[in-house]
Amino acid sequence: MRKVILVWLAALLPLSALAGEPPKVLSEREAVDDDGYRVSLSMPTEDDRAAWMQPGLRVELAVEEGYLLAVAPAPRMLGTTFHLRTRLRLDDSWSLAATLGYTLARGDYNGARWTALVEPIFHPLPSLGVSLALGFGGLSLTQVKLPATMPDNSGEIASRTFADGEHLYSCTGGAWAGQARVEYLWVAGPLFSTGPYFVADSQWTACTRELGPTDLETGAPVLGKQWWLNLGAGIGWWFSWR
Amino acid sequence: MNYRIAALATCLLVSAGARAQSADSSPASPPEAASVERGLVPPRALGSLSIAYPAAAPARSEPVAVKVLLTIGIDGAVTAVQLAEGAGEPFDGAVLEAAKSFRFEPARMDGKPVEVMVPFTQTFLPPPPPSLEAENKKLDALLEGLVVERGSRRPVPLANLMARDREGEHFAISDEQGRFSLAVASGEVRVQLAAAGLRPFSRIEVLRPDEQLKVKYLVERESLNPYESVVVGTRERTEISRTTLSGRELHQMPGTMGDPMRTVTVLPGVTQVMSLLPIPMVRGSSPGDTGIFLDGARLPLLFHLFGGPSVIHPEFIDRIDFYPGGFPVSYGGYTGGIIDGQTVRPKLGENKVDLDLNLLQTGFFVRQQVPGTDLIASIAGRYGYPSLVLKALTPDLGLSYWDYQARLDGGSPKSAWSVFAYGAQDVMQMADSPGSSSMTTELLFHFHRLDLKWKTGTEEQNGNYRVLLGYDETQLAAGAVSNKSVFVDPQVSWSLPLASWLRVRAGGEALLRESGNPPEARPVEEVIGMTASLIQTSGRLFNVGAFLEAPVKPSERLLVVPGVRYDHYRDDKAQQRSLDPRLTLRCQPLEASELWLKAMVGRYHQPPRVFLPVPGADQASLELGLLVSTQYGAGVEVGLAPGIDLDVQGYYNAMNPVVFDLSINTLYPGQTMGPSSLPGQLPSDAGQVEVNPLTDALTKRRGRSYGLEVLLRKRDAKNVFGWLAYTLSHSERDYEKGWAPFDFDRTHMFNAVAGIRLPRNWEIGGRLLLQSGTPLNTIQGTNAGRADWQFRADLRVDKRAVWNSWLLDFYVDIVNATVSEESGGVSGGSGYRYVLPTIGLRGGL
Repeated sequence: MRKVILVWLAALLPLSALAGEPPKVLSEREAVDDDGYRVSLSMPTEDDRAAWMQPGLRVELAVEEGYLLAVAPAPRMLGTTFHLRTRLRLDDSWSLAATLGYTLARGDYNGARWTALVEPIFHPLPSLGVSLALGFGGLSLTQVKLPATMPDNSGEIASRTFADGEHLYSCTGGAWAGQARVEYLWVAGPLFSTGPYFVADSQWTACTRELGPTDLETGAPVLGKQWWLNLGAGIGWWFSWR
Repeated sequence: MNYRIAALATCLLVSAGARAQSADSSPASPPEAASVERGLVPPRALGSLSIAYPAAAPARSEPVAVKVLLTIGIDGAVTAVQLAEGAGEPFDGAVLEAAKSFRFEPARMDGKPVEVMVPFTQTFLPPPPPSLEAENKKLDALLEGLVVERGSRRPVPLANLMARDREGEHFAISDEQGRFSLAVASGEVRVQLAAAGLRPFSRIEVLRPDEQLKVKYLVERESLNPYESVVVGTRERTEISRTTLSGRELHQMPGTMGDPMRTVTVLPGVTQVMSLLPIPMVRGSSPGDTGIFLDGARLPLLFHLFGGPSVIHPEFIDRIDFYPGGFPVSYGGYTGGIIDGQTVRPKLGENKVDLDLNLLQTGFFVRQQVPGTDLIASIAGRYGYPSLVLKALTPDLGLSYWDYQARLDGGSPKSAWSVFAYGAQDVMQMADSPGSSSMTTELLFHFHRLDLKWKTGTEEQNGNYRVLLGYDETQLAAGAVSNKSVFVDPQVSWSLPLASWLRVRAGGEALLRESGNPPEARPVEEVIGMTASLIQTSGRLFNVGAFLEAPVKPSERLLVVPGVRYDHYRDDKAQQRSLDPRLTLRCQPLEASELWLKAMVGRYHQPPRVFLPVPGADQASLELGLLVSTQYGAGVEVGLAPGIDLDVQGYYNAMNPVVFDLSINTLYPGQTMGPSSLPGQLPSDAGQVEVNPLTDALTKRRGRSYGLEVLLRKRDAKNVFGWLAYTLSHSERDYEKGWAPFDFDRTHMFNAVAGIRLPRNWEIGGRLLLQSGTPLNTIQGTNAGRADWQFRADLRVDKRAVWNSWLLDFYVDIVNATVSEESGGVSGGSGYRYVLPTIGLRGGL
């Protein structure tokens, strides 16, 4: 059922874009108060779509379903991501956004992923945005099914980098994240718009796992380190206020 | 001869009139002599004395009269204009300005020109009533109404209205009540409205011939903030290190979830136990050494459990006074810092409704004048359900809390009284077995307060009388440790000016607390050993304190504040006394500069307290003696620009002894503080016996902390507030074999805070924290290493939706938005990562 609805929505939105949307008129709330005055709000002072092209701040929330492929030694993972984006509309063609993303990851490993991205967005059409984002991304994951006998790391005396063949049963750390995104803007009023987006995703993580012993020189835990690379894609829906 | 008096006695009545919305004034009346004494010829106007109706003035329905006194020199020029009876701006200004250009033939006494003063009255006539009988017969309809601010429902004065119809354009300006009236031609009329700070407004009205249409236009502000800063005066500063936060700084600080009490953790000199447990640690002292107050009364619990909000609803808190050290003698019983949340006496007619809903709690606040009286009632309450979120992580843990506040304010500003009742409860439950639905209460905090206050007099000279009644209850370890207590705490203080340069402030308090274990509780010794009896607060406590402070101001540029405080503490087993002299100096070395030098020295005592504030456990056994600190401080304050201040302070605190230091790193007997005697191994690996943590806590030690605090602050004046805070800190303890860093010592702490107000009711704020890691045990010795630096970024976005008669505030507050790792702080211990997003809605009338 959900797929059917999504297909309908995907089909309808481009059609409405081609048809060209008439300027929206606010539903006016009018009433007569106790003193006999007719209470009135302002009519729209500008076209809704023109309002969304004005420079200024927008704040957006988005939800996304995504998949990151396994690129050894990294595992694959599915995830539901929630985004908070502050976007500065610069002019008719450009926006600049800062996006925070938090993913509930599932698959062979469970845990969380987070990203903090800076995102220049180009608008080839008023209702379309294309962006390339780059920033920080991190993971905190633990393998779901641990072996009955875990390797004995009690002899480790200092932190070291694991080879690709060695298995890291959990990963905490961060490094780079990058995304490419295409978004559609459907203006629902002068203050609210929404729409779908598609994203190509990447995550480059400096994973660490505490092995148990303490580094005698520093008092810090001894760590196992490994680099993970994940590539993937996702689809999401965003809600924007200005 | 002074002819001024004579001229006044024989005053001339001079008047003129102007009609609204017309440049034409009524013909100026030539000055007439009401009475002329022999020999005195009054001045005579040369030219018109008419003044045009001010363009920016609202339309008035009644004549507006402005009376001034004109000083007319011997050359006939007006040399001075003095307002005698004004009518408000812009009328007064228009008359004062225009009258300067009047020309007269000078008054003469016996033929010689003399200077005189004469009264002059300018009357602005009201506009002709717009009606169907208007001059232009084509304007056959009338549009009249009110311009009102959407959301707050406040009238909008001085709004410019333009109506365009088939006859042309017509203009009007709303008056002080937001009223306007426009004669227009029937048919379609396009109305446009503009005023400073308001969004553009446009309407199309359709009027029939002879119709009189009454409209109320709701106009939206560009930015509407319920926490507008209102400066009511400059409080005299008699201490060197108080920082006061208010308004948006309190309620919209990023990372605090709108909780005022959390904001102090962003100030210089303050760190916290951990990010999720924001108990403040001030200038390297233990949390129990810093007093948390509400209007000068101790709060038994600052925050709800596990990073919850403070126990008082934010709407009650008007400002926070924070003293990292060197606090006045009116505060006793603490050797660290003071955090005092101040409520404000509400104004008559100040009604407010606030509903708050977020992922962790629901709350409300209602303030209303009691009908038919001058009393104002304020009621608030919150219920927290963090278990809803926590159960996703740990299903066997249950957490809940509630708090309430109810306050009644009455009397007059010179004799004000209030009754304030408040209380809170926190409960933590654990499943009896993994996955079991049967839960046992492992921890319970519960308290109630009734605060009766009466203040009489003025700000200069006043008396304050208060009785605080309380009930406290704490249960730990599934009720194995339990304590209930009741207390009464009367307080009194006076402030009296003895001379223009000398003031006296004096006061005292007496605390009587009865506490004990309920009979069903198990003996505490079974649970935590014999040392627990020193922690237990069963029995009767009786504390008496008195203070005297005499600020001396020999000049406007020097303030000397000597003070002394005496306290007597008594419990079932022992009694202790303390005498605390304190001295503060403030000096302005350069006249008319914004530079102040300051210095302080003082002695501070406190009874021993457990590590963290717990209801009913305000004081441990006095057999342990009193904790003492001697504090020294010096600094400089500079006003760099309007609203931008720089404050630099150095401090040194000598603590001897300290007890109940909050400690997390394990100590080993005989372990050296310098180079290790156990190369290649941590003490635990060497098979050494650890010091019992309770024994460690009860061991008396010397302590010292010293450092430098820098605060560069932009106050919340218009759209931006924020500050940069840096602390260089060293906090050390003298363990058995030498000095070593305190377990929570952080050498460098840097905080950057900013909040920006944007159009369309957006606000964005951010906070960045960068600080040194806490000490770790290494083979070099106790606390010889350091955990990694800690970085944290908090973000807050507020959007205020304005409805016709109420506001809806939507906010997102994310603590540690970048999920940065925080060290566990214990040698070999795991770091942890978290992010704490709060999404909330607040509605207000």
